[in-house]
Amino acid sequence: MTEPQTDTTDESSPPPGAALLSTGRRIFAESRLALLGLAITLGVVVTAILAPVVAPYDPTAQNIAEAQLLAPSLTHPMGTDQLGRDVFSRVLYGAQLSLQVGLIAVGVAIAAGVPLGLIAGFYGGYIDETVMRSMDVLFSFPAILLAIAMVAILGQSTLNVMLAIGITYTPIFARVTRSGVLSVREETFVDAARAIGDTNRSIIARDILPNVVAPIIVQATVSLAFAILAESALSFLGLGTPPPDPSWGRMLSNSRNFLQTAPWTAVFPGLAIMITILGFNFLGDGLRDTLDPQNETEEGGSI
Amino acid sequence: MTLLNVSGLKTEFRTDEGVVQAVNGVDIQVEAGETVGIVGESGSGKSVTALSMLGLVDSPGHVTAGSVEFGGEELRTASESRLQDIRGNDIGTVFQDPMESLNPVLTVGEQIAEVTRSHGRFEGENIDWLEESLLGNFVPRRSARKRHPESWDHAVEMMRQVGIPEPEQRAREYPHQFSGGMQQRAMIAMALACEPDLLIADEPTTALDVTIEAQILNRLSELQADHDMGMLLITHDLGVVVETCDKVAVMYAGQLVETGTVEEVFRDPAHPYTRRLLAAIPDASRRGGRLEAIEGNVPDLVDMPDACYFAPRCPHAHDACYEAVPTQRDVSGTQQARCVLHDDHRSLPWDTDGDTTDIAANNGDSQ
Repeated sequence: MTEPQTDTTDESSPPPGAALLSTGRRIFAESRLALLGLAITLGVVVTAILAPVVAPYDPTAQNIAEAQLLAPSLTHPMGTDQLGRDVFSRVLYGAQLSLQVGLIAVGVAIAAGVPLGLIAGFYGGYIDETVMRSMDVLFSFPAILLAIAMVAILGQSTLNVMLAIGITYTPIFARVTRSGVLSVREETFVDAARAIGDTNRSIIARDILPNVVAPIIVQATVSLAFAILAESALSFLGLGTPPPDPSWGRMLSNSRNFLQTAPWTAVFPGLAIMITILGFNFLGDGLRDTLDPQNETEEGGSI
Repeated sequence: MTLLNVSGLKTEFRTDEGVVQAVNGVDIQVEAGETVGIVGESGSGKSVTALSMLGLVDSPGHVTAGSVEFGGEELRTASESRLQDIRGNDIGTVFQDPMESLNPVLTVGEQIAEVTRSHGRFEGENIDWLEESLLGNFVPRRSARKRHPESWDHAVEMMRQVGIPEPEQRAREYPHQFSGGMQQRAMIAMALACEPDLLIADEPTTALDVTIEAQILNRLSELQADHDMGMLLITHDLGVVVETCDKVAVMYAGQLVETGTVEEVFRDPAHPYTRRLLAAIPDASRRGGRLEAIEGNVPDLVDMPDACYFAPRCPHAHDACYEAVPTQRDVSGTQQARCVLHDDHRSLPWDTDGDTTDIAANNGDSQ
């Protein structure tokens, strides 16, 4: 506790996340499920990054004449689809797309939802009512339906899919942030910050936000899984990523007609979706269990 | 010129049950270099008085009347940005619970440096746009010590002044790594960082044990003398008042019931409430028997009657007490009491309960 600090600790700026980092170590020491989730997630990320290196074939190269619907073999570990494309390569590249969609969609949702939640929670009153009631309107639509409607309006492209999913998840982040703000703004250190003459902007940025980050992070990992699933669902319905880009959902959708003759075209993209979602969910659950104020231990402090 | 001149301050909370008059016409003067204590039971409105002066009362509370003159400037009509300039820079504040009053995610040194930085004490070290934006939390930056060295060194120096050992190291630690006493010292360092003219200390030692309390109060008195600073000390501990204050104001149900120099009020209390408070101090020389207490509770501050608020608990209450709210009357040039009996307080019935007077005298002597 009072042991002298080495100069190396001093070099890095004391990030607001410092407490988070030490908590991070604790999480993964305590929860094997979270550790498994982290491993799977890292695996997916590495797969996505290394796809161009590992993939034996171009994911969009067709070979209808020679390689249509081949069963898994050494040359095609996961077989080929109805256009003769290598399923293994497409699954690998699909990880890129899914992660991209997940990260950008959740990024959009955080970028829109967190500031809205901060403002609504901090200022309260009419501002709160206006922001949160409009969030409720967004929230009242079934997520997939809203995304379908938005893609239908904006036009079908990967970017629009990301935007649509992001907007759909905005209210979730606004709510999570606002509920955190409501409790943090009653803390004495917010009064103390006022008493040293801090402006509202500075109080929100330096006193409130860092103290509501934990639930937002948890929500982000969970939403990442849902965003990937949503992209797959939209693609399955033919509204997601336009062909020929390899999307796991679209691969599933295309395989419907060959389920009996070539089940591998469905099984492998399906497994990929399942494993990725599972990984993110484990990670999110693990984070939630340890960052949840209800489970907070003394030395954990209030992050 | 009087440093702080509060007169007729009224703060009310509009709740569903009715309007709560938390502060009901408070007058306080603090001169430079002087310590004024506000004492009272829990719920008597001490803290709300302090917050009202700073314009920090949260909704549903409102300051409804009175004036707060600080250095000749009226604070009640001042703009929010002017108030932000004054808070922390000209008026420092120490809150009751140090753990709750420090931001758990910033290092202590950074929080103390923030005071001088937000008031532009050192050229080019102000809080920048990146820190004030939400992104600031996610952008890795050089350490606080390197980004704003002067403010950082000043923070370390302040920590040294309030008696935190090894301040260079401890400035880099987070509040949860501090003990309660050290946290309160850090709070005091924050409050004093800009060398304010006035320090408002709201029960600064309530959360601490007695030895730490003495250390902190001594340190506060020394720092006060160094900076010729006025201090408003809010407490419910009469011992603390005797040790540190020049003047004292006794608060009851949102009103000041007695004000005067510590000497006068403790030797010769003019208000029955003050007398009962002093009588309630346990006396080590008299073992056994029951501890003195004031019967009853602080009244519900909703819809107060037009009478002396203390009358229902007062052993000397008579008809006159229920006719109107008593006004502050001079007992001496510097002592006032809000009691209809005050004129004759030396001859009236309470001289018969000799215990009270003895204890009051004892206390005055022993301190």
